[in-house]
Amino acid sequence: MVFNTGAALLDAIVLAVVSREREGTYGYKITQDVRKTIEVSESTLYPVLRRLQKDECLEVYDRQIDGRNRRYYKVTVKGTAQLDLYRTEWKSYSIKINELFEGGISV
Amino acid sequence: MNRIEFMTELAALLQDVPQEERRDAMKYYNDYFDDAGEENEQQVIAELGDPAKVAATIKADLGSFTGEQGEYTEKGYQDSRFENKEMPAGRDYQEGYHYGGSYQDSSRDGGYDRGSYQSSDSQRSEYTGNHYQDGGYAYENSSEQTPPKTNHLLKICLIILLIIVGAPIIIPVAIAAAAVVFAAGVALFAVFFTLVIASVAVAFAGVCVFIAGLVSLIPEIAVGLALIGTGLILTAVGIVATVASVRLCVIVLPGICRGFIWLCRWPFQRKAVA
Repeated sequence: MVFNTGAALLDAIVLAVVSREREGTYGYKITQDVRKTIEVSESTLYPVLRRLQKDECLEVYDRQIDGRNRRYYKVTVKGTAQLDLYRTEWKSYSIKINELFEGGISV
Repeated sequence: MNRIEFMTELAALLQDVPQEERRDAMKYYNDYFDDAGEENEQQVIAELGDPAKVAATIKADLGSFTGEQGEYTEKGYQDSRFENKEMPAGRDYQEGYHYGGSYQDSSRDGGYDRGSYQSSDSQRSEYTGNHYQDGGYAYENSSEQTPPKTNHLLKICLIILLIIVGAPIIIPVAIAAAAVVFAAGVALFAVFFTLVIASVAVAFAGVCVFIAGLVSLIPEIAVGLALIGTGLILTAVGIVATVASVRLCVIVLPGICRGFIWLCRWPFQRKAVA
C-alpha cells in the first residue's frame, strides 16, 4: 500500500475489528480480519493489542477451547469511547481529504 | 526452523523483558500457532520472520520497561535490536510529553489534527511493519542525545587543553608510571615463577640425595639409610611444593594480568563513570 498506517489508525482498526465480536475475539482471528482490510505483518498486531490492553481499551480473558486456553480480547467501555472518538476523527479527516482530492476543480 | 525452535529462540531473546511481558507475548504467539493450525505452521514462521525481529517488535513497545536506556546511548545503536528499542524509549508515555510539541512537526502526519486524541495516542508515529528506521526515529534519537553531547565536547576540549599544557610534565610522568606498573607486574610474575623453580629444585635435590644415599649404603649403612630417608622426604616435599606452586600460579597469574589491565584502564574508566 502507498499510505502508511499510523499507530492511531492501527489502534482504531484493531478496536473496530475486536468490537465486532460481542464475546471477544483472539489473536489469530484479529490478524486475519485486519488483513482483509490492510496489509500488516503477523508480528505487527501483538504490540498493538498489548498496548491497547495496557491503556485499558481492551480486556483479556482465557477461554477453554479444544482442551487448551485461548486468550480472548474484548473491548472495554473505555475502548468503545476511544473507538467512537476515532470514528468521529476519521470521518472529519476523510471528508477533508476527499474534498481536497475530488473537489479540487471547483475551487 | 519449526515452531518449537521459533518459540525457544523468542523466549531466549525476551529474557531481558519483565516476566509478565514475556509470558504474555509467549502466550500470544503460542495461541497464534495453535490457531493457525499445524498445516500453516511453516507459513506463519516464514511470515513472522526472524525471531529477533519479532522480539524487537515486542520490546519496541515496552520502551523504558527494560530500564537500561542509558546503555543504548553509549553503544551507538550498532545493534539493530537496540535501534528498535531506542525508538519507543523516546515515545514512552511519560517521556513523550517532552517532545510532543516538536515531534508532531517532524512526524509524517503532522498536519493531521491529533490534538483531540488522548495524549498517549498522539505521541506515537508510524508503527506498522518495518518503518522503524524512518524520520521519527532519527529525530528522537538526536533529541535524546543532545545533552550528553555538549557535555562530552566540553570534556574533550578540556582534555586536549590539559594535554597541550601539561605535555612536558605528563608524558615523562606517564612513561615513568607505566614503567613502574610494568616492573611491578614483572616482579610479581618473577616471584611466583621463582616459587615454582625452587620447588622443582627441592624435588631434584631430594632425588640426588636419595641416589647419594644408595651409593654410600655399601660402605656406611647408617649414613646411607639416613641419606635415603632424607632424599625421599625432600623429593616428596619438592613434588608437593611444585604442584602447590603451579596451582598458585594458575590462580594468581590471571588475577595479576586482570589487575594489571584494570590498572591500565583505570584512568579511562573513571572518566566514563564520571
